[in-house]
Amino acid sequence: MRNIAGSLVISLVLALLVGLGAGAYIQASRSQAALVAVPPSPVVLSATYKPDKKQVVLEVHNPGYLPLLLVDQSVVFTPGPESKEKAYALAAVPLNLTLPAGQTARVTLALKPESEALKAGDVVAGTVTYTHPLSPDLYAVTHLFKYGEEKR
Amino acid sequence: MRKALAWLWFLLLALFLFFGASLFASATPEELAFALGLFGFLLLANPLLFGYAGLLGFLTEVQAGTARPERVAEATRTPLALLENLAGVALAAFWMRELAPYRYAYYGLFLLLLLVALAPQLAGGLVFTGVLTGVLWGAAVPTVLVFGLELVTLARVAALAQTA
Repeated sequence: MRNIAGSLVISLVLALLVGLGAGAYIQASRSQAALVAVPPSPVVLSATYKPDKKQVVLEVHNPGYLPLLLVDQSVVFTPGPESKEKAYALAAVPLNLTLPAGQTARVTLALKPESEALKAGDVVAGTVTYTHPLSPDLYAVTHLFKYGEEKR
Repeated sequence: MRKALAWLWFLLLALFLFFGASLFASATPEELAFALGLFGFLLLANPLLFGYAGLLGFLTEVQAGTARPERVAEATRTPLALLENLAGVALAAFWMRELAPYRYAYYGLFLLLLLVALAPQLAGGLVFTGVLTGVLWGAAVPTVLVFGLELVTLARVAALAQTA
C-alpha cells in the first residue's frame, strides 16, 4: 500500500474487526459466566417400559452448566381401569448418580417385583430427587408415565 | 497551582486504582487472559510504537524542510558524520532499518501465539483453549496499532520519495 488514505482505511477496518472480535469474545465469556451460575433443572426426555424386567427407564437430561447429583428415586403406581393390581408406592430408593452438565443419564425405576405387568391406563409416577452444588436443598422432578398412551 | 495539580493526579490515580481493582475482582478468567495478552504485547510493541511515532514526526519535519539528522543519529545509534549529507528519505530508510528486527520479533511472536491458540482448535479441543483465545484477542489490539503505524509510515516514505 503506497497511499496514506488507503493505509488509514485498512487500519481502521482491521481495528473495527479486532474490536468486534474481542468485544464478542469478552461478551461471550461474561454470558457464559452468568449462565454457569444458574442452577439447572433436569428434564425427563422419555420414559419406556420394559415388561421383561418390570422397569420403567427414564432418560434424564441436564440442560444446565452445573453438575447435578441425583440422590434417590420414588415410584408411585396407580392402577388403571383394566388392572387388578393395587396402588403402591416405593419411596426413596437410593440412586447417588452424578449427572454432568449437558449430559443425559438413564434412571431405572424398578416396579414392585411381585406385581403383574402394566396394563393400558396404569400410571407410574417416577420422582427423582436431586441437589446442585449451589444449594444444600433437595429438589425433585416427577414424571407421569401413563402406560399404553403416547408420551408427550 | 502545582499542589492542586498534584492532588488532582492523586485523585485520578485513586479512582483508577479503585475501578481497576473492582474490574479485576469481577473479571472472568477470559477477561484476565485478554488483559494479559494486551499488556504483554503492548510491552513487546513498545519500541515499535515509539519508533514509528518518532519516524512519522521526523517525516513531517522532512516535508517541512526542518529535518535534523541528529534525531536519526540518536534513534539509530549511528555516527552523525555518516548521516549529515543524506537526504530526508534516506534518513527515514536508516530509521526503518533500525526498527526491522523489532518488527520481525514482534510479528514472529504474534504468529507463534496465533499458532499455539489455533492448534488445539484444529486438533479438536483442549480445556484451556478459551483462555488462550483471550490472550490472542488481547495481543491483536497492539498488533493492529503496529501494523497501522507501519503501513502509514511506508506510505508517507513512498510519497516523500516520489516528490523528492
